[in-house]
Amino acid sequence: MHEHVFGHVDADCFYVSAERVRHSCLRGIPCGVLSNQGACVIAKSYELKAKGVTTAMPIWDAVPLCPDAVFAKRDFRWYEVLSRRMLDVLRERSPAVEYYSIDEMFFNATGWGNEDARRLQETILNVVGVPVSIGIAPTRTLAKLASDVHKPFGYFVAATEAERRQLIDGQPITEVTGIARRSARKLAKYGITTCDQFAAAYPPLIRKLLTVKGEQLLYELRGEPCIPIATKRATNKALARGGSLGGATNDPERVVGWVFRNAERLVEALDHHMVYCEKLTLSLRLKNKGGLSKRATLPKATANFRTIVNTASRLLDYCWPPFLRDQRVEYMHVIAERLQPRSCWQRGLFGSQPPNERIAAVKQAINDKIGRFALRTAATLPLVETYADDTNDYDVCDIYGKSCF
Amino acid sequence: MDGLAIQISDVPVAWHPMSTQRLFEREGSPELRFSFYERRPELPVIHNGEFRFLPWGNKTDAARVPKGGWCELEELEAGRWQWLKPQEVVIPANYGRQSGRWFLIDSAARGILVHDEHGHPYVYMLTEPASHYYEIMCRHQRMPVLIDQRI
Repeated sequence: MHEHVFGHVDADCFYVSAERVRHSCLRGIPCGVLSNQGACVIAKSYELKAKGVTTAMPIWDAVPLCPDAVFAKRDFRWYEVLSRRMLDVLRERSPAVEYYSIDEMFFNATGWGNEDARRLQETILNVVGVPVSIGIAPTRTLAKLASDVHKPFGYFVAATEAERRQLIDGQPITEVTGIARRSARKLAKYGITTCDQFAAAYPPLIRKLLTVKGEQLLYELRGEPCIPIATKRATNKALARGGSLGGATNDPERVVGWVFRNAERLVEALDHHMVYCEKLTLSLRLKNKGGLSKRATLPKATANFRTIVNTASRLLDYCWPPFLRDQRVEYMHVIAERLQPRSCWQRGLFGSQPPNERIAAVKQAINDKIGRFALRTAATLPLVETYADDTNDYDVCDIYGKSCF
Repeated sequence: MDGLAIQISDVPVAWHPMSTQRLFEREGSPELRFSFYERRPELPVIHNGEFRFLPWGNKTDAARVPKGGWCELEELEAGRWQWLKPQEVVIPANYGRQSGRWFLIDSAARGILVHDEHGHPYVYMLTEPASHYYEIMCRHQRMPVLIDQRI
């Protein structure tokens, strides 16, 4: 028996399954959950997938493929409720659980066999209402691979060498999390296209091609654990807030409105994680010009809204200068980097706390009492439709505690 | 919303025999479909606790009730339908359809029931300005007034 055994639970088409928990009429029919703006499919049922609909496909492309498909509006508050119920079920059964993402969890599965996996699947279905796939193996990577390739509602225990071989033999290398298309292309040049070929490769070659991270994956596929279960979330290297602008726009007031909205949300995240940032990046995607980004160093490590929004506004002038103002902006991210814990940070040599720190505290107190964004910066007023829809107040990144996105 | 569907299991059994022409299957799941673009469109309605199929709006010039199948909430609230003595009704549905796109309905839409000079009933679906989300999802500027739900 292996000293360490890793389990991986992955909810099958989670957002759709979550909608089916409260809307039984969606069971068995092709259905999808739409993105924040109501345009793109962010989750699809297996019935919808069978018709050729893919994730991120716009609804206007999906409907011709499946005219009977039913679409639901996303509701991350509800998805979080079910996600945490899943987490509770796991924590009752395992001494170490990693909340990896809203629909995936790793856990210590030492001593687990087929019957335990089956029973866990049944319990989650009964208690949470969501079907899950489960992988149990001597490493994280193998456990995740096992649950991924046994979807939907399957489980696989790779307890023996023969079972490990069975799991990886002939499996496309892109099935391994961490090996995306670009890495796969590099590997293909050396004739490595499957998991078993990758596991049998010469480690220094893999390190050369895919860095030490790739080498770790190689050992993991061989059944040698390199990546532990992280029961506590690792400290963030960066925090970002942003996304689609809800339709490309070159209206300066709207674009500035989004800078302020993203900055407000970023400051909330910095406060939540109790960190300050030293660097700030504004990243834009223009409709016909692609991505542009610019980074600035802040005068000192801070989470002060005024400092952050002023810096982000200045960066906007660099990324989207007057001669580009006819170009429409469709995506924006405000990213805080070089994060420092508030318990130990490098103070500036000059100046004291910025004068609007008290205003921020009052604003926070009001919003805590009345509701998020009840009191917000007037620059966000042009974003009427965003604030009119209260489901926009809560996004997947607002679900804290996950080790991945 | 120009069409809707209700699962057969949500329709009182007594109405099943009258529903055969409306019966469709969505991946094997039977449901009744209603479309305003039928010759004689109807809607499933709960009025005074009773489930019925009633004519959806008015498509003719003969009756002295507004043409069309929808009533704008703003107009109703401004009293412009008062002369018809509208009564509120519930339009139960599992899915709504607009411009060929089906979307989930939690329980029901709101509508009004009016009668013409001969006492014939007509049901109009209540609408309000579409939310940004609905407008993008359905490409339409008005959306149904749903019960305990806003898309």
